[in-house]
Amino acid sequence: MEPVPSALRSRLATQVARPARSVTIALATAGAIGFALLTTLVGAASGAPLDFLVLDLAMGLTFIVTGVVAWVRRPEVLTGPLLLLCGVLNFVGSYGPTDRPVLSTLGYAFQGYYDVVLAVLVLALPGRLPQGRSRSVAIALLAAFLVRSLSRLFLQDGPTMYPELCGACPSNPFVIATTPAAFETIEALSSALIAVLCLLVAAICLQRLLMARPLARRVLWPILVAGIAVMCVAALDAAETAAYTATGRLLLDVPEAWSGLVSWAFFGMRLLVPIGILVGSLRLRMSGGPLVALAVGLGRVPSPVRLESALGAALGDPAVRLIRRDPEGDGWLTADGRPTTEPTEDLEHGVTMLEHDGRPLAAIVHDPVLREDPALVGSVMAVLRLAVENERLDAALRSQLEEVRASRARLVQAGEDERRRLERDLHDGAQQRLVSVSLALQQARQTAETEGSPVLRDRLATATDELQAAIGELRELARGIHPALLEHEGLPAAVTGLARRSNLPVEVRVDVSRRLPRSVESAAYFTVAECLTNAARHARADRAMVRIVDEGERLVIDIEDDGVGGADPSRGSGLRGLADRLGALDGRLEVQSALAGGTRVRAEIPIP
Amino acid sequence: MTEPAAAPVPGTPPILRVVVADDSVVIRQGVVRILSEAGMLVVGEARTADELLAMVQDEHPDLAVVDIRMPPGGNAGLLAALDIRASGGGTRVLVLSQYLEPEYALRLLDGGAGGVGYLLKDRLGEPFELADAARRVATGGSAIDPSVVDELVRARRADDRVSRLTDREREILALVAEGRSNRSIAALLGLSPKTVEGAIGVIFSKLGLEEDERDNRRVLAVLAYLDGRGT
Repeated sequence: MEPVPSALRSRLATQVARPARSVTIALATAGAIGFALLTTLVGAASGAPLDFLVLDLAMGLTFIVTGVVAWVRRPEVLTGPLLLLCGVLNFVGSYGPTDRPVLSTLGYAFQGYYDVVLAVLVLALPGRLPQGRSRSVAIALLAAFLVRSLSRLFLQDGPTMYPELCGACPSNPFVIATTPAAFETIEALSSALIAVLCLLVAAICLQRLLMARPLARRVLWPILVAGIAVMCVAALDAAETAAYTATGRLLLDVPEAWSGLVSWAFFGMRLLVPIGILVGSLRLRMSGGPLVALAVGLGRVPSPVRLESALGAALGDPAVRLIRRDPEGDGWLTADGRPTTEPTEDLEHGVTMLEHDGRPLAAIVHDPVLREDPALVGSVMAVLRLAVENERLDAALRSQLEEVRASRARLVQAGEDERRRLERDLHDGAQQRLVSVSLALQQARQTAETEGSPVLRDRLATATDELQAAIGELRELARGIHPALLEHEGLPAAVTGLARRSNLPVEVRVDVSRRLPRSVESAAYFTVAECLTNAARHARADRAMVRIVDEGERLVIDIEDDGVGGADPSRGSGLRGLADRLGALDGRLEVQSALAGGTRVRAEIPIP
Repeated sequence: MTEPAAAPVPGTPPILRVVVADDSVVIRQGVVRILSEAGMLVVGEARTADELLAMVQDEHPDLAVVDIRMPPGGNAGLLAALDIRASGGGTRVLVLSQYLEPEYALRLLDGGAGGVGYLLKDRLGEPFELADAARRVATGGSAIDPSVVDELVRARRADDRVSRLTDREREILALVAEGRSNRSIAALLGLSPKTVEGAIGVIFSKLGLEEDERDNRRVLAVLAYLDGRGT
């Protein structure tokens, strides 16, 4: 079987993964809601009060719904599943006050676990499992909860939690040993530990809030503040349990009439976490405002440094770094062109890659909190892709132009070499042979003379005249193809020769005291030749002026006449060809030729 | 010591010793034949510029007849001719060329007229032109090809005093520029030397040139005027 290319393979993986993930989310949601309904039905059947059932269901469903929304929006992080789990765990506790022994005991034993999950959620932001110190705190919290659950499950018989609800609460079917002293000690200590650990989580949140970089603070503060509040409430809950178990009294002396409301309010505060998450991601979304400015402000091809700061502005994170693939090698470059290593993700940095045909082109290194808004990052990456593609195309176009320019120069050079070769062949071949023939004719004429044959002599003289005309014409042809004088004596002599052969009086000034590259001399020579021919032939000029100045980096040729004007390089093939020829040398031709105003031509040729 | 084979006969001009340089065998042999038939002694034949220079050094000929374009390439013949003139060894040079370019002739004359010539190879078809030019140059005169002079005379000038000359005067001017003497001009045009001398006076004054009896000086003056470089 053919191996599947890796890019295709990853695309296939994405396509396969998507439906599987949707199914997972759908099943989890259905399960959670089913559990919620079941719990409510069981509660109703056990005679739980209506307000309890409604509020409990509302709490649980709020977690479940926010969890599903978060899960769908960002399937790759744990926020969604964790929120969903909070909803489910809420309903576990709801079995505590029922009249079924097993369910009631389990519900009581495993009540309150959503606080563990909420702690993980606020510690995990943005979106991943807690690391380091946070991780230890989360594990300790879970352990404290588990110890308390085991104690409640096996060491306690009878209702201690809901004395007012459970006049006839069922006895514990799991009890191993009824040792109230041990149970109470464990209950009080573990609850106290839970309270301390929750306060620790709150402290970590506070620290993160204070130390966050501007972007992270702006995005995270709603979640962190919610985390601090919720963890304080959770700590208070646990502290009350510890105090009540140890002393039989509550810490907060709430009037009887308010106690139900207060406990519901404390419970309801847990919803601050999903609300904080929602608000945080909205704030992130709003920071994408400068995105349009980014797209518009990119100009044609922005420098990487400008691009980097534009990206930072669009993402609201001035610390954003743009890392590019080195176009001439395998390495990576920073925006200002220094070599760097391939960017990798860590606690402090998120990396988003820009790929083309499965190969990385560029990457942005940004605050990891930006992962909370993949849509914003996606839009910015789309703009970045445009910019990078634009630069790539621009570079490709430039190199193609350079190639065309070089090939045009080569063509002109090849033409010139060919003309030089042709002139040399004519000179050494045909012209030389005709001279030999004229020598032979001369000898024949002498013979005819000495042998007294005047008719033959005269005929030979006629032939000699014809031959000399042919030699003359061939000489003109050779000079037109390639002037040997230019090659041998340089530009001043050759241009003076041109001027002398012109039908116009031509004033010549050539300020060139060195030999220039052949291509430059040749282009200058043919420019003067073409313009003088035009002046004499078409412009009906009385005089002309040629000035050539060697300016070091370029040769400037001015040719003026006092003729009728009207020369147009876009029409006459002579000037057009001249412009092409000069263009091949990166030179340019400027023609001013108003009607009746004479013609002024300026040619500039760079001297390589 | 017996009588030398080529001892000069008293009263007759000495036999001119010549070297001929051209990379084409046919043309070289043709030139050698024409010069020999004209009574000159060809003492050497060269195919390259270097051979020519070595030969001139060894033989000290009266005249070197040099093809302008020779190995190793370009206008090596012209450069060799300039070398020979600059060396002051007394050898005169007549350059043969395919190029109807006054620039070459003027460059040859830069070191002063006299003992120098520039002739188109077209002249090899004429019976006496080469021999005549060779003799003039070898004896210290100048010989500029009529076509080259013609190009100079015909050139248009902003301040064109040449157009004020009569046809005959222009004819005489051209012959002066070719390096011919009054006697030679008179013979060519069927005039008396006195008439030619008078005509030349008129021409020089019309052109605003100072008259100079010495042929070589006036060749320079006329060519410089025609070239537009001086008055």
